[in-house]
Amino acid sequence: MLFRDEVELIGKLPLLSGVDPSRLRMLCFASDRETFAPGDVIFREGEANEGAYVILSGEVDVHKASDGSHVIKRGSEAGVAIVGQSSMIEDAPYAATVTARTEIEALRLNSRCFMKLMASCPKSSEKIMRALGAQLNANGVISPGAASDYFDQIRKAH
Amino acid sequence: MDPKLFRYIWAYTRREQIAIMLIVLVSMIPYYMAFDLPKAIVNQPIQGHGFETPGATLPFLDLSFSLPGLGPVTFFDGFQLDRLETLAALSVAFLAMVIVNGLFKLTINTRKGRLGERLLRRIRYDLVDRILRFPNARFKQIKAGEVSSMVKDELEPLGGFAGDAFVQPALLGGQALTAMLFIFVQHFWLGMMAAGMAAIQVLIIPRMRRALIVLGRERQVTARELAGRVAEIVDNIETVHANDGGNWERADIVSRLARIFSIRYELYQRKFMVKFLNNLISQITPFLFYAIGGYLTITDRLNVGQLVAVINAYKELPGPLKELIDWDLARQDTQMRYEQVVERFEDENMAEPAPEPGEELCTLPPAPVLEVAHVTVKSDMGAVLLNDFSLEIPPGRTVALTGGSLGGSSVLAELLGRILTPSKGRVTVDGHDLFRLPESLATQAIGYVGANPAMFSGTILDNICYGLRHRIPLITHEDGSPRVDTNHNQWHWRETARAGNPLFDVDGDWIDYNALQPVSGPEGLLPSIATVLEVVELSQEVLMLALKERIGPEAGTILPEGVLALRTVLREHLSAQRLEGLVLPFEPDQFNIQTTIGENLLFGVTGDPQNRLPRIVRHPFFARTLISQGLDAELFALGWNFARITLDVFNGVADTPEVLQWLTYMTPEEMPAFEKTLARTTADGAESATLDDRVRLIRLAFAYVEPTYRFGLLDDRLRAQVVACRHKLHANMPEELRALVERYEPERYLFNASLMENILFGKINRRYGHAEERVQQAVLAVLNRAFETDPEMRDQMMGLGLAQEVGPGGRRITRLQRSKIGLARLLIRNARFYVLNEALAGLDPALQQRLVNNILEYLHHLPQKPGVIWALTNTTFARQFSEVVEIRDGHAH
Repeated sequence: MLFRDEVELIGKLPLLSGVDPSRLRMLCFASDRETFAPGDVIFREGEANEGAYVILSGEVDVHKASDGSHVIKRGSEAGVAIVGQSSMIEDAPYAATVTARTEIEALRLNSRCFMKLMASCPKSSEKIMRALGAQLNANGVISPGAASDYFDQIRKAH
Repeated sequence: MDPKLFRYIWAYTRREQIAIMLIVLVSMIPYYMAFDLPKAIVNQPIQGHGFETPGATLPFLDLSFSLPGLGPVTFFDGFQLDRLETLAALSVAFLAMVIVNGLFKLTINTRKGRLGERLLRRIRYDLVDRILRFPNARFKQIKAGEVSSMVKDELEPLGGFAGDAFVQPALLGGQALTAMLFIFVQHFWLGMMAAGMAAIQVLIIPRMRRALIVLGRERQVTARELAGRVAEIVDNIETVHANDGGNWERADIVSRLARIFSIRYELYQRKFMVKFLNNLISQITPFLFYAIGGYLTITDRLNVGQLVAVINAYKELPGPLKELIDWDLARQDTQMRYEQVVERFEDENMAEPAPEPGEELCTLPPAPVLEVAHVTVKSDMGAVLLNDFSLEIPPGRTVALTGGSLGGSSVLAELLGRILTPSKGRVTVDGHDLFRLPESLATQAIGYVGANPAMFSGTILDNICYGLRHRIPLITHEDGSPRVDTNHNQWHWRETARAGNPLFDVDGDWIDYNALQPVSGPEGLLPSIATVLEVVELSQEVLMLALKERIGPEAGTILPEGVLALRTVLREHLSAQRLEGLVLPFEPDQFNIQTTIGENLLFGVTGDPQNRLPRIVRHPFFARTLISQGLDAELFALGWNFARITLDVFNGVADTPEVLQWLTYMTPEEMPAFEKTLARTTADGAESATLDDRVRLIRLAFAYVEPTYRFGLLDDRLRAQVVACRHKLHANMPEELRALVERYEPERYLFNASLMENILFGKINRRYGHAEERVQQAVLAVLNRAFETDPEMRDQMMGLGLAQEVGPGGRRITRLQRSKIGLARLLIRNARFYVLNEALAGLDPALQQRLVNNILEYLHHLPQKPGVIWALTNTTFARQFSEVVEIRDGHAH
């Protein structure tokens, strides 16, 4: 997969969909392509953040020790996945352990470059904020529906 | 140190001063004779006095004197010479006197210089010695930069002055008096005139110069403060940047420089004014001589020879007078500098002076009791940090101090480390007051390390062994013969003794092998270091430092051979882990895809790419070979596309110049030139491009690595072409290029590459996730396995790593490494109690846990079973200690 394909693929990620292509190109330029074999740990929960990984092909397992959850993410030419994005944005340690389930082709986004690009372009950062907000909604953290479900449960308990 | 400069100088240079004075006195004889000669030459042979009759002769070298009471005494009648002979003899005598005077001057100046340098050496040593003996509390008021400027610069003039302190007034006074006497002998009233003018000069000028002294003192103090501030900025540079304090510092420096400027300018104004007056006064006297002396000659009351002699003698007078005045100025200035410095180096509570070389070190009993009895410690501000605190620690006990630094655990640790002193109460070891023990015993009793151990510039080894350097080596062998028997060496030590410096030999072996642990004795140094490095988990890091080093053929064969053997071992190790692709080996017939095109062509290491690569690329042979292989057009096209894509990427984000840091193969300054080149040419237009454009793009193509940039510019056909060209290059390379590049050969050690590169003998495949980490682990694993069978290789490799410089203050290594070296420094030295003051603060908890375990385990297994007192920041480790003392508000709980 060549540079120009990567630019196109990461542009389809919800997180980066609003970012203009010239910035995506720069981000890809500064990022590294890495491969992992099945069973390789891509990063561990609590480790210092070294950038988010865009899974270009293959399947990874995302495990959070806090709630014991396992989520599988898959990337292919049809649509890539991203892991470690919130750690990259917050510049915080990784929040989950990600393990390769198959052969993995990944692009490790350069988090410092990402920050610089966002800082210089308010429009892009605004779109990223929106994308993140939408994602939080999707995860049910602040979604109104989830909140009313929660209240229903409390009412039932009484 | 004597507060009076002259007493200090006299005390240490008496003999030499007297010797110089004697030489000066002897030198007066030819000096006076040289005055008399011109008069004799003019009067006798030239004007013909005594040669009135033809064939008349005069005695030369007539040694007859008229002694009081004995009448005339004749030693020698002299040679009888005629007029021309007399002229020749007197002229030669004059020349001889000039030479003799010059030789005297040379001797006197050399001796004075040596005397001054000895004294300067003595006083500088004395000052540093005092710094080493000051109590800790003293350093709270001292700025490092100010002290070093006092030792270094402020006393510099003292060396020059010391030689002149007594000799100069004697010599110049003598000269001035001689000249004056001579004038008086020639003519009384002319003498009175000269004396009167000299008196004006001597009385008025120093008075005017007094203001200069005051200004000079201010200049000294302000310059010292400036030095202090500059040192402070350098020491705190990180904090300055972290707080954007640069401009504030600039303002401070500007105001200081303004003040220094105004002082110095004022000084110049006054100095040159004084100079002007001084010159004026000394020029008035010759005016009087010409006017009055001329009148006397015309009226025949003075002969011409006398007048010439008077004027000649007078020429010698203002010089000595002016220098005497200068001497007086230097005296006042030096005296002031000396007093200013010396008063800053006084302290009542100074420690004992240094011991003699070879003096036996006393030892403590093997298992003393450490007792803290009713100790109160107060801060400088008067706050009570430790309140009537008592604690008894029997030998071999391990005590955890908890309660946080604010509670007082850290204060107790600092007290035991003798950083703080008790305002009440006593700390005793085996009944002796810890604060009265000589330092050698106090450190034997208690080994201390804090959270930020200091690093000295030097190697890691130097820093680890710092605590062992107690044994002052003799400069002689046991039998009294000098250790290094050379003339230079003997001179060196003789001078050292003359300057009052102790005979401490920095090149000797200072390590106190009795204090070394766990393996004592001279053979135990390396094994002990290896053990403590293991305990503090530093050995692998030291190995990594060694691996980054390059060794020359002079380093012996053990490392190169061992490393060569590891090449295959590493491959096997990697393939056993199914990571065979992690390192791509250099194969003569294969294109290494992780390597640049340039490196693939060169297929070797240069050792100094910055310098040597351009020399190779510029060589006509290189261009010729590229062209003969048809590679120039191909590389031109690749370079063209590479530049195009790169410029497009960066032009797209021109509003964010910070991202240029990720552009490594082109500088921002070069970008416009590339733009122009691209505009002038097309990708397939190598033929029609100018030489400059071709060179620019082909050189850019050399930097291309397909997997790194992923622009799809490199295909298999071009790769094969590069390999073919590589063979051509190496087959026909001229000698001068061959010397610059060391070709990759699987069976040969590359002296231009690091040990690591030699083991890998290939390029790390960055396509693998965490490639570097995995390679490092693999290399360390195969190395450690190899060390088991080859301890010599381990020792050499460790030696190489330990020889790495830590930089000033340890800035070249990480904070974690500094902490670990501090711990290693503590653990390698024998002590009865070990005090660790929050030594692991801020480290990752899992690492802290391991280090606490390792260190306690290590100390527990030492034969003397030392006690441990550890002020902990993390109380979870407390249960590993035999006792826990919680200190809150300065009390034990």
